[in-house]
Amino acid sequence: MKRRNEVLVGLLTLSALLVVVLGSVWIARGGLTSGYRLYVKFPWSAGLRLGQPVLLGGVTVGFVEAVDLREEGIVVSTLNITTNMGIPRTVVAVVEPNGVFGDRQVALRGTPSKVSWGKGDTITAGVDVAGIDALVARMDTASARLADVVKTVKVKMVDQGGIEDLRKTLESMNALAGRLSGVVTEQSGNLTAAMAAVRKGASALDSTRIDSTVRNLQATTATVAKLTEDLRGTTARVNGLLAKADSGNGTIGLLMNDPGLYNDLRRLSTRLDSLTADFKTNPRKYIKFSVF
Amino acid sequence: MSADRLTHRPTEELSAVPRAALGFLRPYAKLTNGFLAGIGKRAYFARETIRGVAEGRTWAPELFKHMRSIGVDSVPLACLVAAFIGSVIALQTRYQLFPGIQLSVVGFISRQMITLEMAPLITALVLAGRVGARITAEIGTMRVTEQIDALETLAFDPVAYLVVPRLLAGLLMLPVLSILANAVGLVSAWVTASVATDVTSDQFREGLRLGFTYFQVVYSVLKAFLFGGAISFLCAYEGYVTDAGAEGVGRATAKAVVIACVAILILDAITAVLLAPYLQS
Repeated sequence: MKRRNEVLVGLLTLSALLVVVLGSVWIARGGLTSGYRLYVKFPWSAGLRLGQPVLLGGVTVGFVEAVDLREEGIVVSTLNITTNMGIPRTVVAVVEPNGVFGDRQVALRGTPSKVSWGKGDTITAGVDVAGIDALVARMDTASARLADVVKTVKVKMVDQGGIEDLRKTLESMNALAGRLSGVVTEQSGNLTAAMAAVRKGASALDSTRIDSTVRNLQATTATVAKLTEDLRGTTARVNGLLAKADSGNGTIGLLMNDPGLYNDLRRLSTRLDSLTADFKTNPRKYIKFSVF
Repeated sequence: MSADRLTHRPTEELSAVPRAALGFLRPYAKLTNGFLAGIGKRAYFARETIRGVAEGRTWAPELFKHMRSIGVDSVPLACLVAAFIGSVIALQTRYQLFPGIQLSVVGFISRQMITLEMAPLITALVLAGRVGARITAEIGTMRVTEQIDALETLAFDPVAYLVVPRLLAGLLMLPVLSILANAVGLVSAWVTASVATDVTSDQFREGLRLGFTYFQVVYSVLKAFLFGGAISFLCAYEGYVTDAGAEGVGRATAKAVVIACVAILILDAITAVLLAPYLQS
């Protein structure tokens, strides 16, 4: 009995030890096969945790086995690749959101290649995809700006009486609109009356008289055309006379164009002025009147 | 001087009116006294137990018997409870998720709840009923039938003979049972999530790996170790100080189970406060 107790206790203890060791290894390493390790250097902001999946083409090929924080602002992440397939050398590792609640995963992005990363190689890190935290940060910024705007609006509209001004403006606009409405109503009545008068006038028009008027207008137009033609001929003749005068031929041409004649006339005028003045001063010099 | 202290109460120097005014404090003072005296008695008992550990030849032959009683015989019960707990956790977790959360979270939450809390705690609470009651009843019966007095007469250290092997068995077997409960609970959760919900096996495994550190297992085992010690020690004490008669044994057994359960919960809270910050991966 005693021996049996010892055996059973030993068996139980051994089982528990196996379970705890193998179970922990299985959970931590994603299985009892070891796989191989690749390394990636991400920035601190990557937000990786142990156990997060590593995907190639959307298929899980491994998990994050370790995350080593370095002082120079990087996190050296150890990726445990559990698949037998090689990871193409063309891929880059990118940290991307997994779900909408901030969890992350490592996506290996690139094109197929016959050359693969070897065990212990360091994969190139790509540009991280913005996760929900980035969106939240942006929302925070937007929220802060919105708060500023609201604050400004409050100051302008409430504290500084903007709403009161707006209310007064609206009241003024309402009053204006009322007046405009009255004017429009009045003008509408006038317009209606005018239209009625036009309609009435239009209905009173006699087509015969209109025809006669049109004919008169046509005759007048013809007369005006003839008059225009005569004027054109007269104008041509006048133009010819003016050209002749301008060329200096004839009496008028000479009058208009001979400066000597102009000067003679000026001198003559001057002398006449002198003579007139002299005549006014000494009339007896020119008129001798005697009765006897 | 000592007799004076026991008979002379400071409040007796006061006049009748202030004494009556302070009368309402008397029950609380008695309660506090009782509480502190209980702690003190258990501390003395702990000292005796530690002293008894040195007497290996007395307790060693009994150890495997109690390890089997506490550990091996409790395996079916512990596994059954763990299986149901794991299954329920997986189901509840899945159905409480709202759209948008990746389903691998079911594996993650199941692992965290089972490993860090449920497996050690529920196993300990169940064993407090099964093992603790048994320890109290055994030792209490020995007390009321004066077998303990007989052991003392035979120059046997009753604490080394009765308490130490049970305490060591509890300390050693609870972690073992907790490990099994962890494993059974996780497998049960995995199977339930994969079969009864839309969580795939791969998703559950992905969540199972997320943020896992070996310290989580250590934490679970450490808690079970403390719980095992609490159950064995407190229940052995209650049995050891049992009043005379069958009624006393029954009362002591019930009291032991209650005290053990409360102690387990207090220890659980203390370990969480002290060690939970180190669990972050």
